[in-house]
Amino acid sequence: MKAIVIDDEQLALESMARMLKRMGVEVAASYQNPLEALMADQWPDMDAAFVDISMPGMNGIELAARLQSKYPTLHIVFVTAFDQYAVKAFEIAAADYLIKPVRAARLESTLERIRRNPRHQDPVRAEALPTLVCMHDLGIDAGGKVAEIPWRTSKAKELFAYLLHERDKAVTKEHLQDMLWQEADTEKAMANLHTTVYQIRQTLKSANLPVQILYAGGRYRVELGGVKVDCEQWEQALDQAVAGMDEGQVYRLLLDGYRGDYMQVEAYLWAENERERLRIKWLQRASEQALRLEQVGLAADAIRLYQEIQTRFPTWEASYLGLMRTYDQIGNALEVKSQYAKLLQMLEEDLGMQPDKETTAWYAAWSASRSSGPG
Amino acid sequence: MAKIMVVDDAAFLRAMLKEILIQGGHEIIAEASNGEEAVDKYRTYRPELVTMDITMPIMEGTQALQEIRRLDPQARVIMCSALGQRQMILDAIHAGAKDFIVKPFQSSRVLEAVSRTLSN
Repeated sequence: MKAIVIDDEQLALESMARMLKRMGVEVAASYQNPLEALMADQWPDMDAAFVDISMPGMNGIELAARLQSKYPTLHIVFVTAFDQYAVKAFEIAAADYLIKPVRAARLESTLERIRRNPRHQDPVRAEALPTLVCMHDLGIDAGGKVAEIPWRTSKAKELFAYLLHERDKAVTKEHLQDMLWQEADTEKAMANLHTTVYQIRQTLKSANLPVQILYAGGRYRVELGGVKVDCEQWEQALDQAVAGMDEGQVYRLLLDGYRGDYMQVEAYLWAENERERLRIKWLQRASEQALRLEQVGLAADAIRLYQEIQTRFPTWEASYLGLMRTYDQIGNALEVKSQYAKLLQMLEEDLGMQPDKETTAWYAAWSASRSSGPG
Repeated sequence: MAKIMVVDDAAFLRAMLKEILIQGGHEIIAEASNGEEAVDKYRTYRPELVTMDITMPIMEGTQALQEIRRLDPQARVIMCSALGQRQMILDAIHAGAKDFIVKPFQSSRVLEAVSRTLSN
């Protein structure tokens, strides 16, 4: 293992380098000045960086964030005399977090963690990694086949789902205890949490997922180990396709790529805002795309998308009007009327409302043109 | 044109609602992300109208509505709900809510509900 050490205090720097060497780590360089470290050119070969958090000029977290964006697989270990930075440090996915004075046994476990999770991944293996599925329900997608993960208990599933939801953030054990074992007393809740984390680790191992549950400073977080999450991939692909105006891809992502709402089956309350955010993102893109298809005269495709919008969002009135206009394009008067009737019924039954002005005006004009015009 | 407070625990939903209201010529004078904060800010800012999400952590929308009505019996509060929260909407209307809008927000419906509430 090759590592770099950065600390503005000469003594701390030397002591850390010495300890690492004793444990078989090759210390390629050590820096007192974070800027100098940033300029160094050995970074691509490094496995790990041990970074002091409080340094003059540029603090360690900022340095680490910049290093991490340049070298995403570099393991960053924070070293500090204070633990007030722990949360911030975990936001940038640190491999570990050490409090000074650093003890040998503690450092050993850090190195062990880094060794278990080597950064140089075989590209073939990386390709073959399964994807974690969150859309519709929680599962794994291995080569296009989605399977459930055999969780031991529903609490194990929810705890994992929550850590996945909060990925890259470390969650305090108190928060997890309150969330999952509210009724139990503290001691019982703590025991339950430990057992459940153990069960999750076993399940992940037997499912052959390189995903890990890490614990440091009273906080848990999930380390995905290169495994991707389907909704994140979907969102990125959709943004890219929209930016690149790849209409075919946008259409596919909206209709086939969106397996379902975020953790829809599990219906966790804490997932509600994310569920709604993704749903609305889908709705906005689908509405834009359906309108475009309608305007360029691709009626069949527009109809399919409007219908999908209506199924997912029955109160979204624009889908009814869109369908009315598109059916009118292809001369299907029966369907125009039927959509209007459907809208009236939905508004009346679900909301006790009338259609909005735009819709009523369109329908009135359409009806008038039929009775006066030809055909 | 009214001074409005927007209450929702999801920041992106507050942002969407704000955009609709500002485009409709209204002014957002406060925002809150739970019921408790909403009651506090109502006391401070005295908005002419409040949009209130029903399901929120710490204090639910319906309870916040009741507390705000206790502070100010004239308070105008519009509830925001998802489809399928019929009973909650009815409870809120009994507790003095002036109107309701359903998610996802449709610009014309939001502005309609606001102007209806203001003119009553």
